[in-house]
Amino acid sequence: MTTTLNGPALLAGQALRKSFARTEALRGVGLEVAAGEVVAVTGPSGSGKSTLLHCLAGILRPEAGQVVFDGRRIDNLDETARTLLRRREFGIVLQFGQLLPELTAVQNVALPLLLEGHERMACEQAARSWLERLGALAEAEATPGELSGGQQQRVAVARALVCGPRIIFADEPTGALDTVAGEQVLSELLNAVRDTHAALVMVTHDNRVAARADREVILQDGRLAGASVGA
Amino acid sequence: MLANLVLVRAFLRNGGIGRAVLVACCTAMVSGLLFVALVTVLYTYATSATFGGSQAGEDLSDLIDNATLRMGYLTGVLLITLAPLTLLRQVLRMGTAAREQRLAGLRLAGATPADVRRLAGIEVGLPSFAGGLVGYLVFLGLRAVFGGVPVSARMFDPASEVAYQLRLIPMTVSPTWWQVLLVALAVGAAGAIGAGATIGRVRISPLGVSRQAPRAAPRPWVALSLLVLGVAGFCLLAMGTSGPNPMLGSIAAVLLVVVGLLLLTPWLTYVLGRLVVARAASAHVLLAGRRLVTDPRPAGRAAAALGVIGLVAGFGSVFVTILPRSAGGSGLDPFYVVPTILVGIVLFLSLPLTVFSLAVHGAETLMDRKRAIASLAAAGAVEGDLVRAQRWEVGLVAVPVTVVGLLFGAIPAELMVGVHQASSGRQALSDLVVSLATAGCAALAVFLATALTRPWLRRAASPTNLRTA
Repeated sequence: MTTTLNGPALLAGQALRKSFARTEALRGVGLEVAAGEVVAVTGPSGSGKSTLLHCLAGILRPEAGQVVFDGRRIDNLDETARTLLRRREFGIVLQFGQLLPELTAVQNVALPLLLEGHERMACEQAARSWLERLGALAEAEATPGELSGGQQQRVAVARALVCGPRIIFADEPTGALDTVAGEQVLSELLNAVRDTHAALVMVTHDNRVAARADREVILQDGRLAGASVGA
Repeated sequence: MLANLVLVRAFLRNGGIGRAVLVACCTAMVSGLLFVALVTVLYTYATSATFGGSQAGEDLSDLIDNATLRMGYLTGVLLITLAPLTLLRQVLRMGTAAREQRLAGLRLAGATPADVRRLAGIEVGLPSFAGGLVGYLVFLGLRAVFGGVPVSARMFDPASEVAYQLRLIPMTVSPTWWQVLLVALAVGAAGAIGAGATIGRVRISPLGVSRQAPRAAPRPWVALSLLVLGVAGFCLLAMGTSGPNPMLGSIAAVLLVVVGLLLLTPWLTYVLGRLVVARAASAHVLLAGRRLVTDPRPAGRAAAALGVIGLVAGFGSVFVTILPRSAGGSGLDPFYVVPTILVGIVLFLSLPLTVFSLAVHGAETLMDRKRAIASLAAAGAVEGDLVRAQRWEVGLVAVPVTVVGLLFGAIPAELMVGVHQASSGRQALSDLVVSLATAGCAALAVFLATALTRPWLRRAASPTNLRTA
């Protein structure tokens, strides 16, 4: 088993390669994440940060290399198996626009549980409890269009956490927020991750956000350009 | 103007050609039917002594020869245009996101709001006008089938009653060149106005497109009033107190019921959505129900044609059991049988148009929400989940609307036929068979429409949408 500075790897991406048309987004990147570890992936625009995150989360399939989660290779699973894995074991937070506009906040949060076939009342109860924990219970019945950017991100974080994931992937989670709202959302995300002992892989180009991680890896032109241990 | 045409040509060449062809196909069907109506009117003027006509009448079906029935025939022909018009309305929504982005780009480049409206109008008006002209060929095709000694009549003995009843389009009159141009211009203008309506509720600024605040929930009162008036009209007809012109009364009642039903579908969609959301136990039903509550009007409009199909089928199911026999008693009277079969064929042909209309609505809705859908897929919704939600969304409107249409068709028909005949065993069996067949067709339409939208669903769920706004 691969190990990291913070213990045995829960997730390991090895020699990942991915291209879009003629652009090589990833050129043999490797990254290991331990259980409960917070890793920030940074780098300039177009360096392959989001592509790496999508490959690790099983959203994209790398053309070469492999992704191993909890000792099991996941990059060769079919689309349905990878999707079910994301639903049950992973949480995903994006920069914006991830909530279904027609559903209320509580329904958006409850959605992964409902998709698992759980009873609606229980799903909504779990969703409310996560919204309360993240300070967004007052907005439970509002639709995304009625929420501010910060409130929407809290709802998105609640949705990512509601299934009890072992690892959360966040792509610029505060990128669309102002400094104050971004700081609040980041603190809530980190607190929730630490409370639930989930790992967090977070793509960001904000140094202040990266500084809050246990470890920072820097990408440039689809290659690992450096790494540092954070606070 | 020339600059506008150059721009429109560029738009059509860069991705808009499919939509333009579909617009032209829809308007060709509409104008083909309008030409049929036009020659019927021209024939009336050419042969009627009242209007100073001098031409001898053709040996045409009673539906045209009989002045009273002719009004009903004309109404029927115009009602058939509802199917391609419904499709046209959905086709105009195709590629909305890309088009709005393009128009916002134009605003950034210095186009005024009036320029943008004009361009949007020309972009649809031109293919509509072209379709209007092609409609003349559609008319000629229809006339080959249903005019003179028509192709359809050659299948039977030309002197037979069936062949005679199939002569539905006059051969001795034709639209003049300016009438053809006028119809094509009218259809083109209608297309351009429809295009204007599709961008009517968005504000296109140089910084992008913003939608106006969502409209209030649909209200049923106007639609219900029209339906009640229509059904009341049929009651009066059944009681024989319809006034001096029963045909005009029937046409007015039919139009009231059809328009009422078309206007009722958005409200019905909204109410069904709310009911479903309150009781949804699964994610698929909840997603479908919330979609319907949030945006009931386009979903209702897309399914409205099924309501009209149900309406006509419900009406026909009552009459089909009481078709009278010929004078000699050798079989059913072709005067009734031929139009009944033709109506059945029209309904059958309307179904693919309705499926396509539902599919276009589904595809556009998916493209509008592609980022949210891609995020949902990223969060763990498998393709099967998304397909089921889509199927529920279409089915929750389509099937009930069809059933409501059946009811509003069958009830007036039974009022007209009379309770003593309507309650017979044969009548009940006919009602049952037609209801089941129509509901089955609606379910098939739902299945086919969602199957057709599957490529757009996959495109919407693609991870590439996670990178774009």
